[in-house]
Amino acid sequence: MNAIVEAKRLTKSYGSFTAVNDVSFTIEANKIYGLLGRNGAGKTTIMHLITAQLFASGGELLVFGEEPFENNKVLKQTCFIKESQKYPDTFRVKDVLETAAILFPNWDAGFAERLVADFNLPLKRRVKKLSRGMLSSVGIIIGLASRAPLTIFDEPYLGLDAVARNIFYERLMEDYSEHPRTVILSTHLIDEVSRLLEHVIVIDGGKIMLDEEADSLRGRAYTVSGPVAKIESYMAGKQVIHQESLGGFKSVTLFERLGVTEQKQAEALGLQFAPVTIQQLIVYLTNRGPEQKGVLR
Amino acid sequence: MNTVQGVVKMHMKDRVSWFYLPWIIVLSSFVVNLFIAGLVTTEDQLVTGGLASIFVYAMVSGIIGVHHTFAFALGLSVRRRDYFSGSMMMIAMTSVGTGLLLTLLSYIEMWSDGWGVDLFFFHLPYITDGNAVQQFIVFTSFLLFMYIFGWGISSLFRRFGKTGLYTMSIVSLLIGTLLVYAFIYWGWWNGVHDFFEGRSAFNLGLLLLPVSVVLSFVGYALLRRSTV
Repeated sequence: MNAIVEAKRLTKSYGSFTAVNDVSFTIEANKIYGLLGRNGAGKTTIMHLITAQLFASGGELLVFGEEPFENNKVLKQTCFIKESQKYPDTFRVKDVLETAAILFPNWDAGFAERLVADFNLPLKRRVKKLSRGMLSSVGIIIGLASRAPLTIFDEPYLGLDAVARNIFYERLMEDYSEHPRTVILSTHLIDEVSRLLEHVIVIDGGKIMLDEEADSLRGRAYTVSGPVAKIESYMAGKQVIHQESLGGFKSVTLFERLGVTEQKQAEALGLQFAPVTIQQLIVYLTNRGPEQKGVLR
Repeated sequence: MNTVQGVVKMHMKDRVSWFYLPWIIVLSSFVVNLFIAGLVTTEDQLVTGGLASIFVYAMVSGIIGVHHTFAFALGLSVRRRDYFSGSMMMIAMTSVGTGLLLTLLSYIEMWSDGWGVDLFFFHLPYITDGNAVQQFIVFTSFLLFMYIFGWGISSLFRRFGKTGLYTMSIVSLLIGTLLVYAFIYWGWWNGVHDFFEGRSAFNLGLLLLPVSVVLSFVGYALLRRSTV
């Protein structure tokens, strides 16, 4: 196992507010990670900490086995694309890309050029005058063409239309298979990216809620529906993360693996199954009241 | 290419702010003065302070420069130390280049008797009293100081935000007021007078160099703990 990022009891607090609370996780080499969670969950803070743009209040954080702060060996291998990236007012798209080409050692100019064409980006226009979507594509081009061994995208496609987002996914996958690297992708559009993700980390309230392989996560929960009485008896003793009823019918989402015994039991009761997408699962998990937010088994 | 050179190249992409804009400002002031000097038909020389604009611009440029490029550079995985070194090289190169041009213009002005109309814009009493090297050092050192002073203000803002700037302004004002009272009370003005009396601009320029160096490191200390 080759750990690219190792966080141990990482904490970041602002006065009395704790944005990241005692978080430990490991990011392994050459995988695509999804860092998911609601707004204000602490995702962006974690990504800023990994790139030493923010300073941790406590805990330990190693990137490529070293502390990232003022460490060129780490930073030169890292590219962090964030939605809030600032660009100098006077810079044109061309200036930004040329500067990125100078600063990232693995920059592929040909690839950047193709991406500019893909996204229809006007090279001579000032970055300040770009639309929100175009601004996002500038970040995406830097993130892809820099080919950094650790590439982090924080909400990379604000304002991008579905076509452009698809271009991003396609180019990312193509380039990733040719030049494997570690990618951390943070986004709210979980359904769209779930097929790309190999590992999912869910953050909620500054804490890690889930840290699992995407494949295993897909079988982690399921929904059953049927008459209220039967459902009630079936769900007893199981971990319910969501429920809704309509008339005499009830449907519950259970955070359980569907084993053979349960399946037989449910079939005997005449209940219906449905799979739960990663997006639904995360919505249910992060949308629960505080009293329900126990540790997940 | 190493990162420090990369930072210099990043700054160089902004030729407008580093090179064109200061000269547009100075030269437009110069042209206005030239017209006035040409129109006024007195025997007296016309000595103006329009040149001060380039020094004021240097300070503003220092303030805006950090504001625009620090977050950008860090976003492109530049560490703070390389950002600092690269920016200082850019400031030094600009100050030397501008200093050379100003010295040259000062000589042209002297040789041409104030551009033929007795206008003294670049060749000024006291400031350009020395020889070419001394004039160059005066111009360069003062430019350097102004750039770094602006840089320091902006670094303070980056590190401590608005509160930092307000606190610093209030503290400087208080200390300034107290010092003025102290000077009056203990009659230290004589000391100040003695310090400046007979001291050439060249000498002041030399004294300002270590001040600029110290100030730049204060700026670095602030940026080192700044976040984006």
